[in-house]
Formats: sequence, structure tokens, C-alpha cells
Amino acid sequence: MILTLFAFLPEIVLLIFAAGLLIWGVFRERNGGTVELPRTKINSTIGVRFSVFVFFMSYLYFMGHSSRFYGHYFYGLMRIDSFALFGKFLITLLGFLWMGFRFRVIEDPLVRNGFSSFEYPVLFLFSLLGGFCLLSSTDFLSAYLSLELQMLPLYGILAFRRTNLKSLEAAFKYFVLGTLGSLLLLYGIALVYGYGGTTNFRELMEIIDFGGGSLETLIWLKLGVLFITTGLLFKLSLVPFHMWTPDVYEGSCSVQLPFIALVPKITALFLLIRLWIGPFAGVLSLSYLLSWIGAFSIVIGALLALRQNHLRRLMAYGSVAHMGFILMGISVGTRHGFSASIAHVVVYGLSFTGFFLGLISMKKADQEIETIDDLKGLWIKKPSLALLLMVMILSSAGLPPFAGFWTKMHLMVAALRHDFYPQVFLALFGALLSFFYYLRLLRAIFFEKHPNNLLHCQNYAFPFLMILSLLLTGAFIFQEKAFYYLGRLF
Amino acid sequence: MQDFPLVSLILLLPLVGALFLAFLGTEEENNNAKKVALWCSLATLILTVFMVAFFEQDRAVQFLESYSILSSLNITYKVGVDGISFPFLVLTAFLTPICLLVTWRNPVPHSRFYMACFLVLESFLMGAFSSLNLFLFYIFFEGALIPLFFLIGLWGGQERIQAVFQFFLYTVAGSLLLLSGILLLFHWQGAFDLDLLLKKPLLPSLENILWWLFFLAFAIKMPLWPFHTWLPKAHGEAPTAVSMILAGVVLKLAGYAFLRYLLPLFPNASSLYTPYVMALSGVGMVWLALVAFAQKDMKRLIAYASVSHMALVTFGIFTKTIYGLGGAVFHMISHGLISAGLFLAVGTLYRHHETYHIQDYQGLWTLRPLWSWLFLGFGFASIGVPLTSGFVGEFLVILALGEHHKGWACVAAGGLFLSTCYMAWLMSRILFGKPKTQVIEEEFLWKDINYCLLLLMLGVILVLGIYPSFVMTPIEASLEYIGEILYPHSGDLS
Repeated sequence: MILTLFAFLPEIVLLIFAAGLLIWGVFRERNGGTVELPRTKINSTIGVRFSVFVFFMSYLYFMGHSSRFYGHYFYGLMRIDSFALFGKFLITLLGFLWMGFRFRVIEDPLVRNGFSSFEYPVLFLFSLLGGFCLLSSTDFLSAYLSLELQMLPLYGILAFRRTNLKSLEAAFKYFVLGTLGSLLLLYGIALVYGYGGTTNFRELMEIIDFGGGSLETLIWLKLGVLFITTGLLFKLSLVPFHMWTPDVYEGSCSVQLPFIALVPKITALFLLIRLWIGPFAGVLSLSYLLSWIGAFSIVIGALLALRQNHLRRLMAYGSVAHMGFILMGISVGTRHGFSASIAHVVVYGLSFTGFFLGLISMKKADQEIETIDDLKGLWIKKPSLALLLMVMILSSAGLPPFAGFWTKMHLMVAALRHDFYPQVFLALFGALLSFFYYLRLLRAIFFEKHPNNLLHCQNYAFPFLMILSLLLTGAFIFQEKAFYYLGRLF
Repeated sequence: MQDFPLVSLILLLPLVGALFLAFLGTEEENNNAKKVALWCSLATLILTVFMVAFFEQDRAVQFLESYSILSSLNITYKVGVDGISFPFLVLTAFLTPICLLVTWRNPVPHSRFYMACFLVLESFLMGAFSSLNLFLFYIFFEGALIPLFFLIGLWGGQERIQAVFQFFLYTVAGSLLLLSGILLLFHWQGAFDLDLLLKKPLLPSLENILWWLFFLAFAIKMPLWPFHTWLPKAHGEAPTAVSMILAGVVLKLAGYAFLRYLLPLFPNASSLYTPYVMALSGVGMVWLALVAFAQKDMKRLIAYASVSHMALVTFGIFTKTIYGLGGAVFHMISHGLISAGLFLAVGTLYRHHETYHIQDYQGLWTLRPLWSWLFLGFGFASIGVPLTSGFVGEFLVILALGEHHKGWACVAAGGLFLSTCYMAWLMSRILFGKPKTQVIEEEFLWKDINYCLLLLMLGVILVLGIYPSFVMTPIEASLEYIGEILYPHSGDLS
């Protein structure tokens, strides 16, 4: 019992914080429903957040180094292993980074949009809690419940700007399509339950046999697997289930986007890998299907991104392409493929975060940076910020020697080792296409001038961007160690 | 001296300089960035001179260093110098300070970034020339595009954006073909290391596929007809110093890669497809020489001339005889100096008259006698007049072609004749006749640094033309080593 308490201490702390903040907000309610945090309190709140963040990181690190906590909990519903801990590490980093930066922006009345009210962090914390539980789940029931716990607050976060039509549209679309994805997942779970009589991954692993059994039962099993995968592909925004991505990205604002975009994807990815090394291991036909989906996502995502002028729409299609790369690594089903996928999602997440960190530290005539044209003249205005953004963009594009290149290379090598020749060629073609739109960004930032340069830049993101760029440029030196560590996660 | 990490030092020094520039003050007036960059490149040049001094003629690969980056995929940081890479390293180290000195007097906006780009470019080019691991080569080969992208795009001419996009996407397409080739090679052979790859023979069918992937990538970079369309535009829009390094060193990357990777790795496929390459080179050489005639812009004319000369290099490489290969390497080095010199001469002219149009110039002999003498020297070297370095390479390549490919030797000779024609036409057109403007007092030689640089380069061209063995001896020693790979049974190249 005590061990369980300590093993799930991060989740418990998250729950207490979220619920406590909710209750505190309700009882402190005044002036028409919103509790505005006064400016003086913001700094102390950041301090609290930072200490919580440090606690989380050190605790997860401590758990990762003492295998006493490893094992199954709650009758096989949850599991602590290095894989789950690494995922928690990752989403904590992203989540707290974003909650920290939110406060910088709310001081600006035009971007405020009600983000300073107390419900906003509550929703974030609940979503993070869902992500934590999802990373640990080893049962379809707990996985589904935590997935919903993770997604539902996100719909709320998207709809937070009540007066903004785009934002409402995005929230509605995200809700409808997210629910559709969840339903597909649920239906698949039902079918698999019908085949195996259990929802536990470990038990299913022993029961499921793709080679044996009658054709009739096998069809239902395979259909179930297909539905579950489709549900997860919805969350990962892969072709042909990518339609919601650009609208949702456009409707959110740059302050929320990295959390909304990255955390559900990372957790869904980890769940997919957990299924893929667990109960669904050895479905060869699915492996081909996934690799083709990955290849087409890369090409179609890159093609659709070519003509986008809206930065977040562009990044949305870009993320479809990146997810395609990641899926190719998963479809291979080898240790190298999985580690390459995770490495790529880390690198992509960092460059994505860095890019949006750069964007939110800029304003154009007191408006958020929205389109590529808004970036014009940044080089003249603020060369250092332009260079840091360049590192993020080139790393996303995958030019050597930046980290994005190395992880993509690992993915391609892993796919080639599985003889996915045409897929790899499609992927490389998609990578070529993606250069076009990443270069358009660089062109706007560096080469084009704007007659009345209204860009206004602040410096607060600089230290983070510096660290990120150094990491993305020099990380290849440590890739041997990194891949050794990632390979031991499974 | 062989154990001293000299090559790494040469590669690192410009990078450290570029990093240092980032922490420099932002004042544009006091030339700090230019000074830092110049000292860095000069120090690199001095280290390269040390390398030349300790270079031994008899050994294959020297100053070898090898550190593992990723042992599971056989990616190592493995660099070394042999007779083939040695002249290219010296060329790069020699040209970079010259290119930096060209902009010494002109105000450069954002000079810190400009200088940093140049230093990174130098480091990456040297890395590409000295790496002995295929993957490492690819990283330097493609990484060099990033500084070039900014150098042309930020400091170029009117249509620079279009030019730089064409250049970048064209060459990146080639690079991705190369990457797929490298990854396939790794998939089938299990290694990126050049020595390991050379020991394992490939299946013929696989060899043919890989040959095309590698060849197309290098043909775009070379550039070989019909993949040359990015080059004139990029040259036309690039600032003078960038044109110099582009024509002088970057184009030579592909020729070097032909020699270092394409021929030794795929000897049978190279023999099989030699007729196609010869045809492309022949058409390119003649056709682009004719295109050069039609140019109204001096810079574009020199750019087309470069492509035409590169076709001669391809001819030389694909004869696969020791004269042909040696001549090709020598011609690349000499053409690196000559084309850089021509671009510099034209750029100097542009600084005073602000036009590249041929028809705007007349009677420069009376206006600027000193400039005219220098330009005449470079023009004759480009034509290949004996005693200039241009002659040696052309002579050796034609000699080698004449042995086995008589028809193509005629075509190449025809191309050379055409190159004589357009160069002579250009020189007569701008140097002679009645000057259009008033006679002006030309600046005294030592006052204008461009004249000094031109004179220095012309001196080197003459020295190489009179005494080519300085470069030829190490080249030949290493080519015999390649010959053993190409023709394992016959023992020698001829």
C-alpha cells in the first residue's frame, strides 16, 4: 500500500493540486466569475510551479533509478516501468514549460483572453494527470479512461476564448472528431475483449495468436486491432485522419498550442508502442499498413503545407509529416525503430516548442504573430531571435548537422532494415517537399523586408531558446548514449 | 607529427571563430568581425601550410583520426589527408582569406553573420574534402548548403531570393538522392566507412542502382549538363566573394566526390555507364560554351564557362587513366584559382562602374591598364595558354581522352576551341576600342587590395603552370592507390 502510494506520488500530487486549485478558485470567486491573479502573485506562483516541476523531475528520476517501484499496480491496471517514467519526464517538461510561460503573456491585455482565470491551469493539470495515467496504463479500461481524462480538458482549453469564433470552431471540431476517434478505439477494445475475454495487456499477450484460431474469430480480432490503431491514429493526426489538425491548430493560440499539440500525441505514441511490443506484436499486415500510412502522411502533409500562409496551419501539416516519420519507425517494430521514433518525437517536440517560444515572444502591432508575412523583417529587427528560430526550423526540416536530421536518418535506416524500400523513397521525397515550406519561413524571416516594421520582440524566451538550440545542434555527439538509453526502455 | 590532430584543428578553428563572432560586440564600424574572421582563416591557412610541410609523398592516407560517433551504425568521425584531398584543402584554405579580404573595404551589413557563414562554410568544405566516412562526408556536403543559402540570400543581388531557392532546392534534391544511396549502401554492405566498403564487392544489379543515385547527386553539384540550370543564376546574384568560393571550391566538391567515392565504390558500373557520362560531358562542354557566347552579363558568361570547364573535368575523370584523373584534379585546382580570379576581376570592375553588362564596357585598356593586364592574364589562363596552370590540366585530359576515346577527344578539343573564342571575344570587346567615359586615374596598385589579391592569384597560376609537379606528384602517388582499386588485376592505370 505504502509502495503504491509512493509509486504514484506524482499523480497524487497532480490530483491534489488540481482539485485544490479548483476548490480555492470556487471559494475565492468574485467580480463576475473570474478570479484574476494579481501581478504580484504571479511571480510567487511561478516559484511554486517551478518547485513543483523540480520535485516532479527529481522524483521521476529517483524512481527511474530504483527498480523497487517497477511492477504492476492496481490489479494489473497500471504499471511503472522505465518506459512510462520516460514519457512522464517528457510531458512534465513540456507541460510545466508552458504553464510557466503562460504568465508572461497574460500581462499583455490583448492576449489575455481570460487565460488568467483559475480554471485554465486546472484544466491543464487535469489533462496532464490524464497523460500521466495513460503512460502507466496496461489495461484497455484504464487506458481509455485516462485518454478521456487527458482529452476532455483540452476541449475546454481550446474553447476558452469564448468570443473568438475560430477558437470555438476549433474546440467543436476537436471535440467531435476526438470523440469519433475515441469511439473507434472503444469499439476496437470491445472487439478485442470479445476475442480474448480480457482487457489486460499482459493477459491478452498470452491469449492473442494471430497465426492460429478459426478464420471467423481472427477477422474480429484483426478488425478490433485495426479499430484501436485507427483510434490512436486519429490522436496522432495521421493521413487520412488528419483533417482536424489544421483547424484546431489555427483556432488555438500560440500560447496553448505546444501543450495541446504535443502532449496528447506523445502519450498516444507511447500507448501505441506499448501495444505494439505487447499484445499486438507480430501483426505483419498491420506493420505494412502502418508504414504506408506513415509514408503517405509525410508526402501529403508536406504537400498540403506548401501553400499555407498561416503559421499554425503550416505547422499542423508539418506535424502530420513528422508523425508520418515517427509512425514509420513504429511500423518497423524493432528496438531501433522504437527508439528512433521516440528520439524523433523528442527532437520534434523540442524544436516545435522552441519555434513557438520564439513566436510568443514577438508581437506585431500588439497582435499575435499569425501568418508567415508577420515574420517579415525579423532579421533586421532582432537578428539573434531570427538565428535561434533558424535553428528550430532547420532542425524540423532535417538538415545536417541538426538533431532532426539524425533522428530522421535513424528512422530511415530502421525502415530500410525492414525492407521498406518504396516507403523510404516516399519519405525522402516528402522530406524534399518539406524543405520548400521551411525555406519559405526562413525567406520571410531573413530575406524579405517590411515597409513599416511593427515587430516588437521581448527577451524572456532567450535563455530557453539558447539552451534548445545548443541541444539541437550538438546533440548528435551524445546519440550513442541516448540510443543506448532509449533502447533499454522497452 | 602524424599523431597530432592537425586536420581536426583545421576543421575546428573556423568553427570556433564563428562561435566567437556570436559573442562579439555589435558595432559595425570598427571591422572587428572582419578582423576575427580574417585571423581565423589565416591561422587555418598556416595550419594547412604545416600540413603541407609534414605531408609525405609515399603514404596513402595521412593525419588519420578516427573517433566513433555511433558505433552501432558505423558512423565515425574519420578524417585524413591523401594526395587527392590535399590540393583541395590547400585551395580552400588559400581562397577563404582572399574572399574575406575582398570585402575588407566595403561596408557589409550584418558583418558578423556574414563572416560566421564564411567560416562555417570553410570548415564544412574542408571537412567534406578530408572525411573518410561516407556519412560524415554527406553531413559536410549538405551542411555546407546552409551558410551558402544565407550568403547568397542575404547579401546577393536583385533576384537573389529566386536564385537562392533554385540553388538550394536543386542541390538538396541531389543531396537526398545521395542520402538514399548512402543509406541503401549501408543497408546492403553494413558500413559507412570507406575502407570497409571498398573491401566488400557489391552485386552488379545493386551497384548499378547505387551508381545512378550517387551520380545524379554529384552531377547536380558539379554541375553537369543538363543539371546546370541553377548555377548561372546563383552566380549572377551572389556577391563577388561568394561567387569566388562557389566557383572556386564548392563546384569542386562534386569532382572530388566522383574521384573519391563514385569510381572506387562502383568500378564496374562506372565502366558500364562511361559512354553516357562522356555524352553528357561532350554535349555540355560544347553547348554551354555556345551559350556563354550569347551572354550579355560578364558574370553569367564566366559561370557558363565554369560549367563548360567542369565538363572537361568529368571527361578526365571518366577516362580512368592516370593522366586523365591527374589532369582532372589539376584542372579543378587551376580552374578554382582562375574562375575565382575572373570573378574577382569582374567584381572589382563592378565596384567602380556598377554594371556587369558587356556592352557597357569599351576600351578598358586605356581606362584601367593595370586591371586589363590582370584580366588578360586570367583570360589567357582560362583559355589554357601554355605556362599558365590552365594548360596543364587541359593538355593531360585531352591526352588521356585521345588514348581510348578519340571521338570525345575531338569534341573536347572543339569545346576548348570555343572557350578560346568566347574568352577572346569577351576580352577584345571590353578591353579594346574607344573608352566610353573620360580617362580616369587608376588607383595605385597597393592602395586597392583587390589588385594585390589578383596579382597574388595570377602568380600562383603561373607558378603552377610552370612547375606543376608541386601538385601533381602527391596526386599521382594517391591515384596509383585508387588505380589498384579500379583495376585490381592489371596493376596500373594505363
